[in-house]
Amino acid sequence: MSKQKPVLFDHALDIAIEKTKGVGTALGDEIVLVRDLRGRIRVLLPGGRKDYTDAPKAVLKRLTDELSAALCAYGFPPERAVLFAGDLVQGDDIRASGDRRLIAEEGGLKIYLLDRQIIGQDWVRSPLERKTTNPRVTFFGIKGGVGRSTALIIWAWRLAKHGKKVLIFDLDLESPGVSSTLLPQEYLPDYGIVDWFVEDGVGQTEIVDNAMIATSPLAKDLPGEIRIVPAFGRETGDYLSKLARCYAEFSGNAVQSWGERVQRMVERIESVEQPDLVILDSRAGLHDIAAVLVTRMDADNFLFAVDSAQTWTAYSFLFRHWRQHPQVETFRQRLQIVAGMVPETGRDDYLKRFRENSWDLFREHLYDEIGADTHDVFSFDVDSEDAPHYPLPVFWNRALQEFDPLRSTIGIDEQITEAAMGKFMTEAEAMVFFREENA
Amino acid sequence: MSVDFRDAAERHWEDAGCLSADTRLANADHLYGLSAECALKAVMLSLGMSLRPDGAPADRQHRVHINQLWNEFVTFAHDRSGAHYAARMTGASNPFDDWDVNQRYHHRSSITREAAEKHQQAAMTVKQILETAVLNGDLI
Repeated sequence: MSKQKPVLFDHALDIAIEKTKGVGTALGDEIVLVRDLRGRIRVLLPGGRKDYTDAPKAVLKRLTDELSAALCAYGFPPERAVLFAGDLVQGDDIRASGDRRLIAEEGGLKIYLLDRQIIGQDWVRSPLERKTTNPRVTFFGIKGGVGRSTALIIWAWRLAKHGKKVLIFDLDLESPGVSSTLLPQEYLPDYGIVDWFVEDGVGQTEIVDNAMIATSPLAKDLPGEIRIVPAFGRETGDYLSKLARCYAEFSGNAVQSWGERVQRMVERIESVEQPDLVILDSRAGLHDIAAVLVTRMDADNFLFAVDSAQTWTAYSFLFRHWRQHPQVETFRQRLQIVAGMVPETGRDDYLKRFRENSWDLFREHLYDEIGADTHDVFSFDVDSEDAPHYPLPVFWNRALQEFDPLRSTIGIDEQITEAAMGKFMTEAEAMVFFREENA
Repeated sequence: MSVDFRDAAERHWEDAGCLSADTRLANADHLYGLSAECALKAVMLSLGMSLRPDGAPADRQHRVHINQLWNEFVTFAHDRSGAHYAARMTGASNPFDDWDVNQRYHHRSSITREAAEKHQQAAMTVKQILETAVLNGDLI
């Protein structure tokens, strides 16, 4: 007898789908497969165990025996290979959860997957509701060190110069940078975002609510204003102990997702501050914070990139995952690639290569195929300037390295910043404020 | 004989439901308390609680009924990456603090409807914690 080949994570789902299709609609029109934290798969059926008698019971037994045998390490013993919604307190809600996604359909049978993940669910969840109407943008980079924070600060300064009130949240909590660049120690408020999360955990945000915002002196002579909600404040103390508690999914005595908690914090401050624009500085990489800030906050997203194989590979993991997003058709319209640190020499060649790689990324995952019917198709040529893949450039400039305008004698040299990122800023303003006017 | 906290939690729950539906509140209340205890012990096991050969928890402070186990669970879960489970046990105080296994010797009138309903609610919360652990695959 030959030994059964081990099953790996990727194959397990295909096997489960195949076996489930085998029962047709004998157990109902909808079967939900639950994949647990380890990747093991079982079936969640409607009704209670007692509801399955006679023929359905026999079909169920065959299915669980087959799943158990075929899935190996990714299965369960037959008696544990099925869960019954009717026997669970919230079983029907779980079966119909918005997190489930349709993964196969055949002969009237729909098979859904409900993925129980430790993290990462937020990448494919719908935007959170909000009552505030100010535009929001998220600055995100799949990798750090591409000039994201510098671009954010220079743009905020220009907006303040044009009379805008900009409100910035430093949500790069693992590597807070914007906070310290925009707020010298003596300007820091008492508390920051980590304090808000910790106090929210015990249900007393009112203690820090009104002591976590400050005005940056960078804009002190300008008609507008830069307001900052920093990651930390003067009284924050042990930052790491607080950071370790920030991502909890509870608020006081209630269970609440991290995304909902962030939304609550941002929305409250927006309603007090009434800004013209909110900028969310996101942590880089495929982290849950970024998932919420990019996908769920109803924001336009600037995706910072440099032209490297590492960058495109990492973005392709994300974009491929986004194809499962329930509102991908709306969401993809709010993405814009930014070419960070474009080298001084050979700019045109560099940007051409960048554009082609970016186009490949979007075309592969998020653009529609062009068919016979070309109406309302979300698809662009490589050279289409209004396409999300067409990079807004931020040019590398020696003067913008170790950028620290409040501690240097020069401050912000407008000639340099306009040369480096004038095009980015003009396009970004058009994108954000044009959308608002047309909302 | 083998200990199976998950199955025990389920059968005590089911039987409590039958008694409750027949307004036999005193014994329903007794079983809701036992169901909650078994459910929490099942989750604790999945979070790494060690057992003696006879199936009882190795640590003395865990060999207790629900009126004491409720708070022990919260402490244990926080120490073992189970804070997301403990977070569901809302409210400042232990809802089973007025439940006692020795009430099985008491007259039926000593179990009030109010207390029985409170314990049923709390047992349902614990059942949901167990079910979340099952869905997550922390216990099978």
